[in-house]
Amino acid sequence: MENMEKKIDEAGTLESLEKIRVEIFGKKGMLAAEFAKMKDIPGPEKKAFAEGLNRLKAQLLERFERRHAQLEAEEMQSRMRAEAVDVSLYAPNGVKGALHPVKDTMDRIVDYFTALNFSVESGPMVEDDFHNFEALNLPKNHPARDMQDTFYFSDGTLLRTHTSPVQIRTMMKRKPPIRIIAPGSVFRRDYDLTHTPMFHQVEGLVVDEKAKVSFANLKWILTDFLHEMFGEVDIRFRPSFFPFTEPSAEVDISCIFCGGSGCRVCSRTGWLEVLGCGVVDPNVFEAVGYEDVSGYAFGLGVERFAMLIHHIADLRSLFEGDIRLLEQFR
Amino acid sequence: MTVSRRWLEEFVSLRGIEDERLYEIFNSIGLEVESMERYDIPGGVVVGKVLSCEKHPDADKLNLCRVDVGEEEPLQIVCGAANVRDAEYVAVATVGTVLSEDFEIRPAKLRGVESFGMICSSTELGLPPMEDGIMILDESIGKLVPGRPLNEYEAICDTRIELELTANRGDCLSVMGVARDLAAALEREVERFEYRLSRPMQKGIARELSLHSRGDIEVDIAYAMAMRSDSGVNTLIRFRLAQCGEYSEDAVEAVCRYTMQATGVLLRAYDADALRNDDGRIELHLERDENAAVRVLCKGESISVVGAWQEASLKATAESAEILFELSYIEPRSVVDAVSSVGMKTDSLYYRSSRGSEPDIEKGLLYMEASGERSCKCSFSADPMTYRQNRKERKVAIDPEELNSIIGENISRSKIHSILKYLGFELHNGSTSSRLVVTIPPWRHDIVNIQDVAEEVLRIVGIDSIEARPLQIMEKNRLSQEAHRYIVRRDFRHRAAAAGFYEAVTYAFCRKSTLRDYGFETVQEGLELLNPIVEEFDTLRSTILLNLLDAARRNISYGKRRIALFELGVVFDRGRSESEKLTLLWCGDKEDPSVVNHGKPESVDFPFFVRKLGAIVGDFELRSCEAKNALMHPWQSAEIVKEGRVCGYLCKLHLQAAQDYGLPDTYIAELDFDALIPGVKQAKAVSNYQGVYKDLSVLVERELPYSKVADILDDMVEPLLKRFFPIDIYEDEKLGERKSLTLRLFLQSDEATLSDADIERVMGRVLELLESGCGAKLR
Repeated sequence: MENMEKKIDEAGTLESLEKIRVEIFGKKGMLAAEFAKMKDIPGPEKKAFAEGLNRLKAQLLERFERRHAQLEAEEMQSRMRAEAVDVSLYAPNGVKGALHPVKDTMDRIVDYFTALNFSVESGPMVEDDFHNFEALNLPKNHPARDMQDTFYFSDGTLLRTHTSPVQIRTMMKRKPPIRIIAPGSVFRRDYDLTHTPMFHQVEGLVVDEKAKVSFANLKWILTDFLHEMFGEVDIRFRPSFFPFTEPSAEVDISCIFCGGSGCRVCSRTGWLEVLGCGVVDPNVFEAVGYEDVSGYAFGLGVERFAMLIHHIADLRSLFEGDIRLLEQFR
Repeated sequence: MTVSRRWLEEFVSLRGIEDERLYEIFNSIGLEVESMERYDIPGGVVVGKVLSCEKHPDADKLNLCRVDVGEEEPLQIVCGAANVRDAEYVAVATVGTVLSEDFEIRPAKLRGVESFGMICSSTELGLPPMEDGIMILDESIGKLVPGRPLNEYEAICDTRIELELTANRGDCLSVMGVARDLAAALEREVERFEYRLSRPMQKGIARELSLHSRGDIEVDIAYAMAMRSDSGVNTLIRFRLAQCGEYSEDAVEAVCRYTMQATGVLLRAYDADALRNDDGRIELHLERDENAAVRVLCKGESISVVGAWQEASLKATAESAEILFELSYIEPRSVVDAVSSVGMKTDSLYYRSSRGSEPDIEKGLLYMEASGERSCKCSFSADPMTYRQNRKERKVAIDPEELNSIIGENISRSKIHSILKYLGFELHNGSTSSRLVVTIPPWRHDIVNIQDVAEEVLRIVGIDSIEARPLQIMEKNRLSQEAHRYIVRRDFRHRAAAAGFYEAVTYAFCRKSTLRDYGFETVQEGLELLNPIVEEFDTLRSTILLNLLDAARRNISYGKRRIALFELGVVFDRGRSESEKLTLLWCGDKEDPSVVNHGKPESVDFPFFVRKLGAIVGDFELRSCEAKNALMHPWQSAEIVKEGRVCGYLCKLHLQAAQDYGLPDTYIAELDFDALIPGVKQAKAVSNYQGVYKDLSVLVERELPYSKVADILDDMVEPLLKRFFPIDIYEDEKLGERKSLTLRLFLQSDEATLSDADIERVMGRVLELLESGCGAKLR
């Protein structure tokens, strides 16, 4: 008996354990032989003998199963050991591509405003003088037209110089209230280290009934927006001029590189200009046939945001599909 | 616009306002400070009086000077500047002075002569570049006492301030204009500038000049005569003009520039003699021509167009003995309209006149006379000859409540009054009504309506003091069609990035000849870009592929071996209509080198590229197609068919194009974004009965495309055949002109478990159809 228990415990593999199982529990095994002795046991002792035998069988069975489970676990363990992999060899570098930082930044901007119940609008890139200039209170010969060097086509149309014509198109096809942003490409005839002939803007326009929308509202949303984009920065509104807004302001954030103490990026001023905005000029409302309304508008350059947020120094590299830049955004 | 602190102080007191505060105020009132620079002249630099100046015995170009610097003995200083010979007062850096970090003045020996100090030029003192050679001092900067430190002369211990003006603020194109705005912000009065000629010319101007006009001409103009003396320009004017990059040694030119810079009044100078007629008189005629330009005529010729140009040959020169000065004002809109209606030539004054020059020409006259008399000893005619237009006052009615609703802050009525008064608005007594009527200052041509006035109030109150308030809005479904497209676009872009592509953003331009060479359409004649910026961008693109190929070529030159790029952007057709394309390119290796591929990644191939595309746009069919352009490989090109609709193509790059661009194996695709926008899908019931997969190998013609086989089975009406797809192609010599195609079919019933008879029947029908449809034989 003890001998059997020892045998079970010492079985080194599932195969040898199986042999022992047959030896003990098999038809011709030890237990079968013991049970066969029953017939020779006299009646009164039979019960006790049977009980003893059954107890022994149960003990051995339990022992066997325990050992069996042990060996199974060991075998699985050794199978897995054989499957060992040097995981550090397989970092998935270069499997995923990446979104372009400008488009990604644009997405973040759009996300902010759609979360504040803005709608997204778009308009054509080939525009006419009316939508791009005239309706935006930029009459012909206005000195402010000089600020934007324009690409013209032979039929008098032009490539939009800003996303502002989307304001005009939206107002002309829809009644107030209006609450839109218009992300898109814009074009100016300028090509040097800090200018590219195409870049991206996001334009915002809110129009509601008269005396409802104020400069204070503009200040609220842009302050919140810039904190969302740039974190805890100081924000400064400076009065400025745009033909299509009045009052107008430019918005600066404290330099994210030097914290406002002055560095090369902020031209030692401690401030970075990031936005233009204002209360919509009544001439714009007149041009689209709106009466008794009030509104604000703002516009920003997406490349500027992307370059500041991601510390990208070279504007032109953004338009060259340069994988050395793009792969950093995987 | 460049101003300086001391110059501003001629017009407004800046008492108690430090430079830092000035910087803040300028920015807060909308005059953006571009730069601010304080001139710090080192302590050891003193006034020197040149007692004598002789040539250096051993050097032609050196001068040996004895200079009184207020000490007992004059200093001996060797000076190389030629202009020291005529100098009386100069700036001397005495021994021990540190002019810059690595430049300390020490006693020196120059060609054997000892020198104790240095006579300085303006730039050596850290001042703007003035005359060639050393800086000449005179008493325009204060009483000159030899030995007195130069940094005690306030006039040149100045702060230069460069302002970036917006296009509407022509009124700030002068020191006086900037001072006027500053005064309003500081709630201080603008100093009145007064001047009386000290030695007017004897003869009155009317004896020499007459000014004729017909009808009402909308300009203000004044003429003054002056006799020039030989003296030059004083130190202060030279210093200030140098500060704003307007330096001139010519006295008349300097007076003109100085007066314009100070007051903003347009000022021109003529050689008076050139204008005289045979009687020695000057007869001027003011005339409005057919384009509404105001011309000044003399002897039948235009000598100037007000605000636009002046006949160059009549300009006063250094030789002119008698000068005729012309001060003028014209409404910016009328001069701009006149100039642009005929494309008239203009000169440098047009920048001022088109943005709005100073209308108060009297101020210009006084300032000119003062600086002319004081600086260059000119003598002026006692009274000017003037023509004044009948100018109407411009008024605007303001409801303070409306003004406050624009700003969004409750600014008191009295505060509004006070701000407007300081800004030069004239308030009319509207105290009884709620409305306020104000006259707009004549120099503020940019102010027209209440919102313009609101801006004035806002910038003086300061945006900082306005409390930001969220806008209360009505809830509304704002998921517009474009908002939806934006989301779908983003979805595709994210999937493309997940599939291994890098997003490119390239210009919407292309080179026309390249588009043509590769067989793409170009914008038709008559709709072309008129003023392209460079030749390689001389038209709008009709495909994004060429831009991506350019990018791929650049990446090859950067040493990249796996170039996977995509762009979702706009292209333009012949008629310049815009459409959006999703364009993809995979060039070179399938993956980066790694232990998986033993450092030798495979080259991209057709199935790999198709799988990548599938990961982005979902299931689609491929149909072989003809090359539509010269980028497409004639034997590896396919139309992409999604839900029965052709939505673009994918192909291997034509080997010629690959050679042109210097690229290894490259696959490209261009898809219509609109065709990819998913609709709402409807699910079919899933059968719970056991289905069965059956493989079928048939022999077909080697050239037969799989799509033919698929079409036959697609047309077969058999409810039990749920799905089929190719799983193997086998060709060898024994098969001759045929190939073996193995299909896997999935059979399932919606109503019962399939019987062997059902399966046999369907497989039989399939084979039958393939035999009759494309001559297939069971293998």
